[in-house]
Amino acid sequence: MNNETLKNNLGEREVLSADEQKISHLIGSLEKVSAPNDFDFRLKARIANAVKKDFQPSIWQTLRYILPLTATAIVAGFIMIQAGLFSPNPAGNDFAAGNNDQPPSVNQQFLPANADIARTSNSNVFENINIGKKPEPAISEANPKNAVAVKNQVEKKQNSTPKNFSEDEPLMSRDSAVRQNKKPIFPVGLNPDNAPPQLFENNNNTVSAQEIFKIIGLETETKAGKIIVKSVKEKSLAEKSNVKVGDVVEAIDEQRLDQETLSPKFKGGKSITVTRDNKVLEIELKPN
Amino acid sequence: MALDNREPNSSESSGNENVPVATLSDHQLIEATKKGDEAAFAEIVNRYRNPLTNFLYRMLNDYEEAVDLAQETFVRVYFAIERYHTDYAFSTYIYRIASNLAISEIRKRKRRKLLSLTGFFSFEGEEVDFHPPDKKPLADLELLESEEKTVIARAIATLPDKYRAPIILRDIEGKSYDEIAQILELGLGTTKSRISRARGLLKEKLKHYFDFE
Repeated sequence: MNNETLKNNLGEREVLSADEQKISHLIGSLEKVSAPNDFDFRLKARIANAVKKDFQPSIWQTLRYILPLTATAIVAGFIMIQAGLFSPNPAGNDFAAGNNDQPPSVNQQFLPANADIARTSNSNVFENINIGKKPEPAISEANPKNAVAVKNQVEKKQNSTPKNFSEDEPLMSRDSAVRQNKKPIFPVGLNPDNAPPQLFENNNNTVSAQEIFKIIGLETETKAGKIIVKSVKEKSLAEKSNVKVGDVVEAIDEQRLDQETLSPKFKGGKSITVTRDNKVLEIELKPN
Repeated sequence: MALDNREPNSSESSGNENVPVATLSDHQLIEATKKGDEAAFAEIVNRYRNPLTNFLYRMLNDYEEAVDLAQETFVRVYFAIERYHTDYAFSTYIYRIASNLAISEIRKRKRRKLLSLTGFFSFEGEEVDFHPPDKKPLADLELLESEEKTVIARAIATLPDKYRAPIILRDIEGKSYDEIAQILELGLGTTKSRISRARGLLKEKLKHYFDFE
C-alpha cells in the first residue's frame, strides 16, 4: 500500500520522508494471509465448549468464596479464645485472684480471715489442723465495758461442754482457729448438734489424750494402770492406721501418757505408741 | 451456534425479513446477534476473520497462533455482545480485543525466552532485537523476493510491541490515525509518534537488505 493509496483511502495528508515512504511501501507489499477454511467450524466448537463450561462452575470457583469465609471464621474464633471470651473457669480464677465479689468455694467460705490452714494432704490430720494462736477479741480501748463483756463471752464459750460428734459423721479436717466472737461454722450437711467437740479447752492450744482418742476413733479403758484400746470406730483414722482392739497405748508422739488421768496435753498427734503381743509398735497416724 | 445450518445470507430476527446480511452495517449485525440471529454473527465472522488473522499473523509471525487468537477474539465478542455499545465503530472494538490478546501473547513469549541478545543492542534508547546481516551471495530473483518478505516480516515481528501494533494497523491494515488511537487507546500525538519511531526502527533493521538515504 503506497503513500498515494493511503491518502486516497483515508483522506489524510501525510508527509513522509523518502525513507519512510520506502518503509511504508515495503510493509504494505507483504502478502496478506487468510483464515483457514475450517475457521468457522473450529470457532463454533470453541463457542460450544465455552458455553458448556459456563454452566459448570469449577470447584475452584466455589472454593474461591468458601475458603475466605472459612479462614475468617477460624481467625475470629482464635482471636476470641485468646481474648478469654471462652475461658473455661472464669469464677475460680476470679476468686483465686482475690476478687471477693465472686462466691467462694465450699471449703473456703468456712475459713476465718486469719486461718492458717494448709490444704488437706496425706500428712497427719493434726498437722492439717494447725492450731495457731487464738485471736484476741477486738477490745476497744475507748470502751472498757465492751471489752469486759466480750471477754466474758469468750470464756463462756470456752467453758461450754463440748458436744460429742455422731459416730456416723465422717471425720474431716476442720478449722480450729475460730474467733471467740464467732459461731463455729460447720460444713454443709453437718448437724451442728453433732459437731465434734471444740479442740480448744484452754488457752494453751493443746489437746488432751482423751480428745485425741475421740478424734481418731478410739475408745479406751484403763486396766491395771494400762490404757487399753477397747474399740476402734469403723472407717476412723485409727482403723486406717491399723490400731487394733487390745493394743496398749503407751505414748502419743513419743510422749508417755499419764496412765491414771491421761492428763498430758498434746499439740497434735503424728503417731501413737502401742504394745501388741509384747511388741512395741509406733503407729503413724495416716488419714489415708 | 449455527454458522452453517441456517441460511447464511439472510436475517430474520432483525425485523427485516430475508434481508441479505451482507448489506447490513456492523451495528445492525450486532443488534441482530443480540436478538439471537446467528446468521448475523456468522456475517460478522465472515467480515473480520481474514483481516484479524492477517493482523495477528504480522504481530506474532506465527500463523497457527494467529488463527487461535483470532478465534479467541470472536469468542470474546460473542460472550460480551450484550455489553457492546455503539459508541465506537465495531472494527475499533474487535481490533482492540485482538491487539490486547496479541500483546499479552508477546509478553508471555518474552518471559519464556532463556537468552536474548536484545539487551546488547539499542536504537535511540529502545531495545531492539539483534539481526546479523545475511552476507550470502545473491540467488534467484524469486527466492530473493521471498527472502526479502521474510526479512521484512521478521523485522516487523521483532519490533517492541508498543510500536508493532501501530505500524501494522497503519501500513498493513490501512487504518487511520484516529482509528488506531481508539484501538490502542492512545492519544493521537502518541500514535503518530510511535508509528514514526517504528519506521525508524525498521529502517535500522533493514538497512543491510535495502538501500536507504
